[in-house]
Amino acid sequence: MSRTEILDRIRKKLAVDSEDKTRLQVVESRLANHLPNTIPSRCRQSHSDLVDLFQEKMEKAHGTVNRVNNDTDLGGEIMAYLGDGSFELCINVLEFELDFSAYSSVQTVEWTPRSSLDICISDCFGAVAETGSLVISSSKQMPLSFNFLGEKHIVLLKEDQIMGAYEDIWARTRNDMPRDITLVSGPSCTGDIEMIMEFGAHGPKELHIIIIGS
Amino acid sequence: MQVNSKDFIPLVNLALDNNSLQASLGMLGKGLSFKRTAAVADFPEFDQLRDEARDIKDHCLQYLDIYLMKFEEQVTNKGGHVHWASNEGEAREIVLSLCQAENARTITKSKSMVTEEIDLVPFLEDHGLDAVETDLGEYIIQLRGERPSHIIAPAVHLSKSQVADTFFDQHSNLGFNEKLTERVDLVGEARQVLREKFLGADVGISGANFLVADTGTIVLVTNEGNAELTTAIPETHIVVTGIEKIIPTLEDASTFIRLLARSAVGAEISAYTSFITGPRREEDQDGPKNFHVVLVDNGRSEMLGTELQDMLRCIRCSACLNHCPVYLSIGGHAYGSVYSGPMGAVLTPQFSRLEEAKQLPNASTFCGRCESVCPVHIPLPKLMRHWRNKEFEAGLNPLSMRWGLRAWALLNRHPLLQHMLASLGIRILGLFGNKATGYIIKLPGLAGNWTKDRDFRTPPSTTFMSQWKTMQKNRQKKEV
Ligand code: SF4
Repeated sequence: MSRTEILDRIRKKLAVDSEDKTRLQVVESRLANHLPNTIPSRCRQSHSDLVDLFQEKMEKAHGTVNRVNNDTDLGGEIMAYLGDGSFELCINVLEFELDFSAYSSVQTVEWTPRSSLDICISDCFGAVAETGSLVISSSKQMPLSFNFLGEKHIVLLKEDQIMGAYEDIWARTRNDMPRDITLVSGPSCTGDIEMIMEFGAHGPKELHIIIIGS
Repeated sequence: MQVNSKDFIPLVNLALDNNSLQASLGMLGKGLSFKRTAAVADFPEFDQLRDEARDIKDHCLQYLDIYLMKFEEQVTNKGGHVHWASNEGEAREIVLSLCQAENARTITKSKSMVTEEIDLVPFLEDHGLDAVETDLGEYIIQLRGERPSHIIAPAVHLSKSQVADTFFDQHSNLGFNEKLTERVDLVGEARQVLREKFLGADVGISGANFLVADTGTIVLVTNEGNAELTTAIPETHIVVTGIEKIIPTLEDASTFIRLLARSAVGAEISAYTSFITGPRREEDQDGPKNFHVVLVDNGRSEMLGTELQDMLRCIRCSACLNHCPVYLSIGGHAYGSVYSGPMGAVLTPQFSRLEEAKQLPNASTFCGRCESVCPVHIPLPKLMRHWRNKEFEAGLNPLSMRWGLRAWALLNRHPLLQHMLASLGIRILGLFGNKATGYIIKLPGLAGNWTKDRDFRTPPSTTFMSQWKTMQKNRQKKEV
């Protein structure tokens, strides 16, 4: 069987013994401790600086960011971003109430995976400041593909959801990893034609984040 | 692995004469190395992380058997399945039988160099499956029946108008009848065509950038989002990857994520980095029901305990290609292997046969740029030298080269003889020189290969040794 064949070959080449318990202990203790390696110093600063860093890095990655003090008029904020026109919104937001009653040009549509979706609006698991990355995760409420099929993706993020480093995600998820955790750093893009960046390769062409203060 | 590295020299000549390829390589070389330098300058911890990454990989390789079993245990606990493939044939058969078990007809695939290495897609197509590459670069070369010319930018050898021609030819049956000229429209058309494929696929196949032993997680990095659509929509997800991709923990993955995009394209991180752990949970709305990981050996374990072990640290970032003066002159196709540049010159002889690929480790100036940018400190020049030694030991060099090297060694052992021949040599060379310019522009016979592309400085009339002796004598005279 290939499994045994491969493992035996590895041990033979490394000149180690499969019965050697100390090797197993080395691995098990490294896994149990899961110590961090060097964490960049930029990840460890005051929370308000981390919020600024998140915004700076996300904008550098061609996402757009808008900060609001509270969640009283998120519908208005979203419409301000979208501008004039009529829109089909597909909404998957648990944490906030969105009210579009003042906008007659807006229609909300049910989610099904399909080839053309106009605007998808969601909240998310959190964000990491070090590279301006949103953290989205698959769950009962959130199909992963929801984050990829819209032409534009608008994400609502509370300031206190912003973490410093990637390691901060694992502290919260390690023991019960969801099927998927994706770090989203900017809209979908490709440089595959003549090394020049184009947006909207397969995922959203635009990524807009509204950070809600606490 | 399909390799035609025997044709290296004619392929190099073709590449050097191909103006559009030269233009693409020019852009690649300037763009990426400049961006990488800027990204590194903006990240003070970079070198420290490189050392750590090297040490993590070395540690994993030392305990590879155990880490692979831990990974397998975790994947199985989460409801997935791990398959082991000793060689490429086994790997292909495993994937095919998994597809057949699900009665699959359509497959979407995200980019994976291991699937290129094992020639997976042509094999699946031969068995009647419709397998489509979804990374834009891979999709373009699939339509053209070509192989990747760069490990992360597979279509970098093509111009925009070549892509436009390809789409015009191949998409007309799908109702796209307009010849496009703008890049944004080309990307848009591919998006539309592939969106349908994503939604209709029975199986999604991906590679893995890293395998996390602690949680049984696979890590996938893309800019386009195609990996996520490939792995979230179909009922079955098959991961095909090399055994050396294993790392211990999510913390270690974080370190590699910090190095990968900076080294590859000078970005702090790619647009999407996904950590996938097992199949769909019962309550989930999407994700595959079946989750399979195929661990491919295919010559990797043979590298352990040898000088080549260091190469197993490679994270396929492509920095060594992007900084290699040889790669940047000839492009990837000349190597005749899906792995090109310095990393390809080390891997190809291992994954095929040295007889096939012996030219590749010789195609190096040994300038050392590859090693200096490699995020995991792989001593690439040393490893290319390893193959050159093997080539000599196995008697694979041409006779002229073997005699040449022998003669060289002999001269170095007999200084008097060397001196005599050197004096004679420079006198003969001197006859071809142009007094006014101080250069030789044309030499006869074999030496003409040198002057075909560059001039040769006329040597001085006496050797360094005799000049030195004269100088010493004069000095002694003065002192007396
Ligand atoms: S050898 Fe080093 S630089 Fe080259 S692809 Fe591998 S990790 Fe990157």
